[in-house]
Amino acid sequence: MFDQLAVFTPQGQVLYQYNCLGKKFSEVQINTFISQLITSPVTKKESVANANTGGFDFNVLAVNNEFKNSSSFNALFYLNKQPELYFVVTFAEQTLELNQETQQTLALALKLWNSLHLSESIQKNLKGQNEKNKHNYVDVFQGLGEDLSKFDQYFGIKYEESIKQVQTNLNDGATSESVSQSYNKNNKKKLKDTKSKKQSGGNIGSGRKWGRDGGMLDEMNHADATKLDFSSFSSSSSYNSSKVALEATVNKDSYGDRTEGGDFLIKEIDDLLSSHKDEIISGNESKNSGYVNTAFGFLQKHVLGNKTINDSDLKSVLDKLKQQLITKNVAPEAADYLTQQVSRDLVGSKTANWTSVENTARESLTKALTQILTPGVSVDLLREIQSKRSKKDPEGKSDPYVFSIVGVNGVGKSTNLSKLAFWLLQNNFRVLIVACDTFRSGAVEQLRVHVENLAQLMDYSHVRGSKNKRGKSGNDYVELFEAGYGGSDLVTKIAKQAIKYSRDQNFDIVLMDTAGRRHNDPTLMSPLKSFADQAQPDKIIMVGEALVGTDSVQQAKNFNDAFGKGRNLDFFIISKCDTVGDMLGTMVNMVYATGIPILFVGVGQTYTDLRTLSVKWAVNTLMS
Amino acid sequence: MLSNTILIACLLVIATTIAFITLQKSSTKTGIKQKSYQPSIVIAGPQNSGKTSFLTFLTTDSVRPTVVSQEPLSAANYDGSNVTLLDFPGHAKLRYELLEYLKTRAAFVKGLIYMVDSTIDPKKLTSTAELLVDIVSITESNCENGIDILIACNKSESFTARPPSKIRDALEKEMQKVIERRKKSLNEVKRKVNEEEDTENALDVLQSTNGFKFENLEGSVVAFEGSVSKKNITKWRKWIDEKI
Repeated sequence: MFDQLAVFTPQGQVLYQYNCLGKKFSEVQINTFISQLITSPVTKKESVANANTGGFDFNVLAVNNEFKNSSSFNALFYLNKQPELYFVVTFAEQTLELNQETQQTLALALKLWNSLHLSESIQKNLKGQNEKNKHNYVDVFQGLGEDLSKFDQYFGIKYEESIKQVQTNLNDGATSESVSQSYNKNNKKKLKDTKSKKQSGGNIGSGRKWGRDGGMLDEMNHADATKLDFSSFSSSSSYNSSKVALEATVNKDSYGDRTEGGDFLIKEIDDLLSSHKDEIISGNESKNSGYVNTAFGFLQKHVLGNKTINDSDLKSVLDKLKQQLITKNVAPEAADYLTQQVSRDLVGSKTANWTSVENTARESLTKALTQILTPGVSVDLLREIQSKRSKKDPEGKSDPYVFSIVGVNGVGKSTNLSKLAFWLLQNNFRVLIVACDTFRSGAVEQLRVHVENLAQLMDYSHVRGSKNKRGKSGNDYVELFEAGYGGSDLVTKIAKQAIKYSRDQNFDIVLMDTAGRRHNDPTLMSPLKSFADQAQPDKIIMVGEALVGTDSVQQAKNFNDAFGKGRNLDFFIISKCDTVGDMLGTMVNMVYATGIPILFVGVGQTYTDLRTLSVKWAVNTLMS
Repeated sequence: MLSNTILIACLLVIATTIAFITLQKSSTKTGIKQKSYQPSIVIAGPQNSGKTSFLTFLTTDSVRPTVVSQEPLSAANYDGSNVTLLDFPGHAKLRYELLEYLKTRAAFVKGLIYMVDSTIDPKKLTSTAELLVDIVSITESNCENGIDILIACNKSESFTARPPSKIRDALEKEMQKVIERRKKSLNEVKRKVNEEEDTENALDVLQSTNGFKFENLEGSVVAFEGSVSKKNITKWRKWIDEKI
């Protein structure tokens, strides 16, 4: 059984809510879903389209709850375009049976919604075309009351029916998936069901009493044994079946047998659903015959504005924009997604006066880019460091704030680590740099040079190559922790020792440099997980270079997945931004692939050439 | 004959359009610097503070369930005045819309209602303070007299709710800390130096010798308690009525 069904606008107004268990509707669950939807990358959303979805394009999103008091769940959702409405069904876990049920439920809700013409009324209300109330405002619910209660009633009844149907399928011993397919292929197949003590039409609550477990069902089976023809329902769930086939399956006699009010209501709903199907077909035909390429249409498109945008107008414009994005190093995959966003945003809307379709599309693309690059959480490193350092244990010691830096070979991990160290030193933190790259020859020596440089910058009297009072390279501000070269066991050992050492010596920050590794080699990537488990870094930073093109999508994905289920990257540093000019596409690719924000960009060779990302700057550069 | 008339008609249309566009372009380049917009009152604040509920209550007199907003909600010409009420999403990823709006239209914003959940522990106000710093740094530098701000302390019916004066003080302190940290953080990338207005200057404006204080702002800042769910918003409504 699914948890909740909700219909809401992107503005946050809840239009319809249904809790399966009859409990109070929990907005918190829906809120968690939306937050995750906003922040999670596109690649994590699974698209679903099969026989159950009835021609609608559904998406599934697994929601891991940040709040510990509620468990994680899944959400199946559909985004309606005109007007923009979200239809969401939440359910506990992904099983074959539950998936099928939620898909059917959502398809059912959508069909009912459409056949009651609720969207049209809402669209009118949102556009402010209906009567205004005393606050000079058109309520979104204006004139919807009756239709919504009808929807509620119908949905309750149909859902109850579908639950029973699924139960029957399971009892037949066949897997639900295959049954439903054969079902849709052969509408004439008559399924037998047993009739239960069904209440008359208005009783919505009774649907919630049905349990999924067999025992409950048996009870109902004994209650009343009447053969029923359910083909009429199955036809409604197979959206693509033709009207002719539908009529053939509607057996008038079987309806005659039904005596209870609820059955007639079901027939009424089915009629409503099938009649709406005709409307859609005729609607599509009439659209094609409208004016398309008249001179006025051309002028509207390019000069006058005030034109309702359709798919064909956008096609050439979007192709052009996509090409532009690809020349800026954006991966085709990401460019596709961005242009899809634009068409989702624009199709059906009107261009402003004196604005061409192209300009409108560019504006929309700017918006899409801004949204993708804007971080979903505010990262205030200084605050986090301060708050961690202020937690002292009884001995007066406190844990250091640990960064670890990962990335492909040669992207600038050590260089950016030193830049980060310089900034932290400027903020009066004591920094311990740890050489966890025990693989590449010269890696430790390279870090030692950086430490000497930084030590000298902090204190001019520092003598290069001298050891400090603890016998290590560096001085009181910055120090190198090294243990030579070796295998991956050594890496975790060094990491643990370094953290302990830093705790004893009262360092504020531990910066761990790791070996560069190829992202598609599992033998190189697997040690990362144990490293992260052992060292427990506060922030895992991936350095990605702006020079990489399409491969950056895969790089970011693989590195993000390398730390296991419970751990992700925390942010990116994009290095070598000064070498690519305006081809900043790599930034978009990496955020597109993972949903993880870019915090810093490297813009030069010196220690001060580390900057925070300005989203506006990046978007303007990409759009120029 | 027919084709001739159509041709002439087309030419006429094209000629007038071109004339219009050139006129428009030249006027934007040289003439009046800013477009005029409809005056508005902005409702902002962190997520789950009750912004959408508040606007829904203002416009429909009913309390309804709401979920996280993804797009701004607006009520044009509220109560027959020429003022638009605008509710912006509070989610961190969607805040740019609000900031962009304030940057371009600060001069036409008559007031800003900053919704705060008054049940939050004053020590955990950081994210609330961060957004307010963002807002104030824009309104104070882009607008001559600043924008009047109402700190609307929602959910006052709750047992753990704190009085508005305390929330105001706690916010002030937290904002001071945020500003200090912002000054220490790395600069933003820019293609050229001096290309855009300096963000550091904007922060300097906020900070006087003895730290950040609401009194030193150009716009007035007041804090009132209220509760949307208990339909107790008289103080906020009075504030809005003054602005309209």
